[in-house]
Order: sequence, then structure tokens, then C-alpha cells
Amino acid sequence: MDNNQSYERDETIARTGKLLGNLALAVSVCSVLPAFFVLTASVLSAIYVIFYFVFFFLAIVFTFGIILINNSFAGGPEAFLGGLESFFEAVSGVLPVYMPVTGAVAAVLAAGAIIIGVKMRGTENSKGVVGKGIASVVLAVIAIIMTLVVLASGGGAA
Amino acid sequence: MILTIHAGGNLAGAGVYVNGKRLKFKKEKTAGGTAPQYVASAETDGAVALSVIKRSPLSFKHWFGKAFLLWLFGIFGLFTPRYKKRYKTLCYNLNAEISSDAEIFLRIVAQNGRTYVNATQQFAPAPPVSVGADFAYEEEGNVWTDDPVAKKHRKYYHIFNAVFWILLILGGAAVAALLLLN
Repeated sequence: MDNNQSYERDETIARTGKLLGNLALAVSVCSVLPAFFVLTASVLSAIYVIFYFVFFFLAIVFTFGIILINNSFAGGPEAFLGGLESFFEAVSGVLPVYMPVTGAVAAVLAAGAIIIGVKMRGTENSKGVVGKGIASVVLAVIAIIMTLVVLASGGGAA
Repeated sequence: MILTIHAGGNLAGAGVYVNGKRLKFKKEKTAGGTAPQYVASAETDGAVALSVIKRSPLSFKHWFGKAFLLWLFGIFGLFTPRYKKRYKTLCYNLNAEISSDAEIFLRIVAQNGRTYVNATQQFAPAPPVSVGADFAYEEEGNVWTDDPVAKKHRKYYHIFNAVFWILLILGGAAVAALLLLN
């Protein structure tokens, strides 16, 4: 194999590694998001309640906004929080299946990216590939911990 | 005999080979504020055939098959690494004979790179590879060669990608409209 053929092979493998790194990062972000949402639901609820009263106060001050505010916030914070709770219960219901599947896919992609990134070190497309792979593994581990916390707290949130 | 290769400049995308083996460069420790330098070494029996190759992946053999597979697995190009506007090719060769351990310094200049010519105090196009060595050597191919094929292929790739996404959006809109009408 001459140098040109070797160069073509190396650069193609490195591009594949870069693609795997991008995909691993995307999948691991997807795996961590639902658990993150569920865990932060309590915070979101608290923020919502604060905003509700702020807007309610503004609506009283500026009567022009009353109709708008009433329509947008019909039902009050209790109704909103009820909806939020059922949504997050549904999300935490699918977590035991969703998380292992996305986590496993992310782990496989990340492993491929790290192996190729190390093997092809020095090529243009191998830059940052190992970092992306490691970041994906870290995110997948965070997703596992968050999911365990959510499941242990019985669905958590709201 | 060990040949130590120090390299600097624009190494991105460059493949450096000594006697058919690709070098894996490691970053050298340099003083703060100076440009990074890289170092690698190769074992040789005396004959040195050094090559520096820099080409666009879009002018590789079976470029469309490779680009299509990466595009497909990258979820229709969303996560596929981008193709840079690299329309010039470098295929530099250096041949030498060394009788003991030696060092060579390479500086690779970016495409369209210009360097300062001391004699005339003017900027002039720089040769792609500047070499410093304490042994005699012969070099060839120290010029950028235009690569119109890569330019053409990059255009085809972008047209293919754009047409696919336009069709996908139109198709999605048509399906949504049909569902709404029914």
C-alpha cells in the first residue's frame, strides 16, 4: 500500500471516529435530558409559582394585560402543577427502559470514538474525538445516577 | 539509526510518512507564547524516504460512497464532520541517506500561505514545506497543486444534501397537510 492509499484509509477512519464522537455526544445528551427534567421539575414548579404571582401583580397594575394573563394562566398554579406532575410521572415511567437503551448506545458509540481517536491521533479529524467520547461516557454515568435518584424518589418532582 | 522529525506550522490534515509508515506526532514542550511544535521519530537503516501528503477527502477513491455512508449514519448530515474548502493538494517527497542519528525540521504552511521574504522585504507565496536538516537531501513536489475535482465534489455533496432536506421538509409538510385535511 503506497502512502497515498494509506493516507486515504487513515483519514476515512478518522472521519468515521469523528462521526462516532458526534453521535455519542448527541445520544448521551438525549439519555441524560429526561432524568434532568424530572429532577429539576421541583425547581421549575417553584419558578412557575413565582412568575405566576409576578404576572398576576403586573396584570392588576396594567389592566390591559388582565385578559391575556387570565387566558394564559387559566386554572391557576394548581392546575398547571397538576399537569406538570402527570407529565413527569409519565416521563419517569419510561425512564427504566429509555435510559439503559440510550446509555448503552451512547457507550458503544463513545467506545468506538475513543478507540479510533487514540489510534488515529495526529490526523486532522481525530482532534477532540477522544474528548467527545469521554464526555459522552460522563453524561451516560450522570444519566444513570439521575435515573436511580428519580426511581428511588418514586418519580420525584412537582 | 533514529531520525527525529520536528514539525511546526499547519499540520492539520497533513500525513507525514517515513519509509511508508505514518508518523504519530507528540506535542513538544515549548516556551510560553511560541507556536506549538510537534515531534516524532522513525527508525531507519540509513535510507530516508519522507512524504508529506495533504488532500481533500472529496478527491479520494470512492469518495461518494464514503461521503454517503457518513452522511447517512450521521443522521442525514446532521452529525457528519464538515468538509473543509481544501481545493489544493500537496504530495511532497524528500529522499536522503543518513549515516548516524539525525534530526530534521519541517514547517508546513497553510494553503495560500505567504511568507516574508527578507531579501526583498515583501510577502511572497511560501513553499508548502520548509525543511531544515544537517544532511544532504533531495526534494520534489514542494508545491500546491490545484484540485478542481475536490471543489466539484464538494459542490455535488452540498447540492445533494440541500435537495434531500428540501424534499424532506416538503414531504413532511405535504403529509401534515393531508392529515389535517382528513
